[in-house]
Amino acid sequence: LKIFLSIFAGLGLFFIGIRLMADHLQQIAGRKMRRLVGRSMTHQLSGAVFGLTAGAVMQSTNAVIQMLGTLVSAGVMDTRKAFPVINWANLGTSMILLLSLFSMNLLVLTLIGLTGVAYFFRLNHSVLHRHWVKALLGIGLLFLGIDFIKHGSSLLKEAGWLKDYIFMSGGSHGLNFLVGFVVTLLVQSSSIITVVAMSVVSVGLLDLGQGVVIVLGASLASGVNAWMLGNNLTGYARQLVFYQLILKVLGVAATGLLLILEALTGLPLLMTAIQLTGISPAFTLAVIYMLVQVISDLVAHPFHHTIEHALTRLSPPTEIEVVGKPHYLSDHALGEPQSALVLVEREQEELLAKLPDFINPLREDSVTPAYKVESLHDAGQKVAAECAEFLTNIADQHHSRDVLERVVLLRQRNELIRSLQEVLRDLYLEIQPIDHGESAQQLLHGMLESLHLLLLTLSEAQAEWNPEDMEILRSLTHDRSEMMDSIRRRFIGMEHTLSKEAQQSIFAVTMHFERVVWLLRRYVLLLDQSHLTLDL
Amino acid sequence: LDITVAQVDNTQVITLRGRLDSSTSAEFESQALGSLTADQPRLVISFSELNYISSAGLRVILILAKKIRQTQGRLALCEMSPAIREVFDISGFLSILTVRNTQAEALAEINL
Repeated sequence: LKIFLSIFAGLGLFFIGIRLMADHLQQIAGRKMRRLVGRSMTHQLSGAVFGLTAGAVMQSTNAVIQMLGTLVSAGVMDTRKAFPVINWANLGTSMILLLSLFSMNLLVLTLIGLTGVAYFFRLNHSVLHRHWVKALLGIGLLFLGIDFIKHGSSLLKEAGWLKDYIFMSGGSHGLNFLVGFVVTLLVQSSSIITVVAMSVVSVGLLDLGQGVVIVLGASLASGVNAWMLGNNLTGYARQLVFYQLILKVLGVAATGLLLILEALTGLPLLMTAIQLTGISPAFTLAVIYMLVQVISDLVAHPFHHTIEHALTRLSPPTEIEVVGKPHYLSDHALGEPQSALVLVEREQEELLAKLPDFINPLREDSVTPAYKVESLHDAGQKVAAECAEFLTNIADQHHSRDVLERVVLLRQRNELIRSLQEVLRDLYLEIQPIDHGESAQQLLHGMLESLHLLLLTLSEAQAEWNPEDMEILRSLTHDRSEMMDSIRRRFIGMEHTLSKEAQQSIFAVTMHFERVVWLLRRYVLLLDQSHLTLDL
Repeated sequence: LDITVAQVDNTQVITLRGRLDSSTSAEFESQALGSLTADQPRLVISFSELNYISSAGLRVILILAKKIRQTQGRLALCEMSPAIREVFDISGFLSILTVRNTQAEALAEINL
């Protein structure tokens, strides 16, 4: 029980440490992290450095894949750049194995002591330092956890049940592979299982061959873990987890084949080369773990086009991923505020141009829309959020009065676009499922055609401002509350010809209509204001 | 869509019959713009036999109104069915365009 609890506590500390460290390091990087990552992916070398570091820090390629999935879905990077990062992240997770070869007592004690001092001085409450303190605590707990696991594993040589297992298994590689595979599925970390295997091999409980097989089982399980994670994912994010599964299967299969070939034929291959270096059995397992990652990359490399095509067929991008990519925003423009502001305007033009599509499925006079309204809404909200973040970055970097004034105006427009997307989606959801009957159909037709015209005209006016169009738009977006009130009263008295459900729906639709027209009027006034600001 | 163009004194009268939607609006736009040859054109559009109008049709009416205003001409719409009138009302067109019940009223308004 003591051995089990020691390893169990070690795993607990390890996971708490990983979570604390990863969460707080991400907080330190803050909202700029995504931009930094997006930028860093422009060069292969920076992608490699990011992958290695993220793998080493998070100790979970799945966590790195989740982060990459968010970036790829948001259009910050494409899958072609994300795939190599996964290769490097796999290698990055092995850094902990190399560190675990050294005694970490002193390091652990120093880190915990330093964190204690920081807590004593209440730095954990300081806005500036709290994330650093907690990340430091995380690193300390992580290494303390590894120490516990190593200590617990070293006690295993006294455990009778383990000796019985080893005796019964008779050194069966199949059983050891299965143990490595299943335990990794449960623990969700192949590197930590490799640490345990390294400890067990170093105290002589298992021989090197058995340890190697456990490491191979653990490596395959980490690919299966990723695949299980992918069940809830779609589009690009799912492609990334399938890529990880392919990498692991190829890496384990190729390494396993080389080892089997060496054992059967006596040809000097992997093990011979490793043993020539004279490193310890524990170190050898760490090297095997790393080799699986390197070999998977080498084997997959010649087929990367085939793999990419297969992944696209297996998990094509979702509608939101296709529509929800900003067309114009580019971090490279942030240094030049006037250009950056123009890019936001172009992006907002695109968003406005898509608004008529929110009601097109309800209109008689329209072609079948390419995307579902829910997808248009989610994608539109995503791009609008990107615009908002981009504007914040412009304001952070440039403090001249004219730039800040334009930022405020564009931010207000952005908020109106988001509200329009929401109300139009609600309008669609209100009308779409209900049979309103003939009497209400004409009214709905009028409202939809009116909105469609207003949305088209506004979209054109934003693209090409002219005073006449603006005057027309100001007139067409006058307050409709009285008109809608009288329509509501008219339909309330029609209980014999209109169902209760249809009456309620008409009530909601007229409210949405009123709100859309009000939002459009606000937008028109802002367009006027923007034009005046530009003239100044 | 059937489009009939007639000249009543110095005013062009266009009568629409059928549906004014995205498939017919381009033809209407080209015929209507083509009829605005005078320096200060006067145009009456009768909707007496129009039974459907979509945003594409409304858009052409807006284009015509703009064009006529630029050349200081006059435009009046008339003889709308209740259904068509409701579309114009909800769209806010009744507050920016001249709309009369009969063709005679529209002609009289234009030639005031």
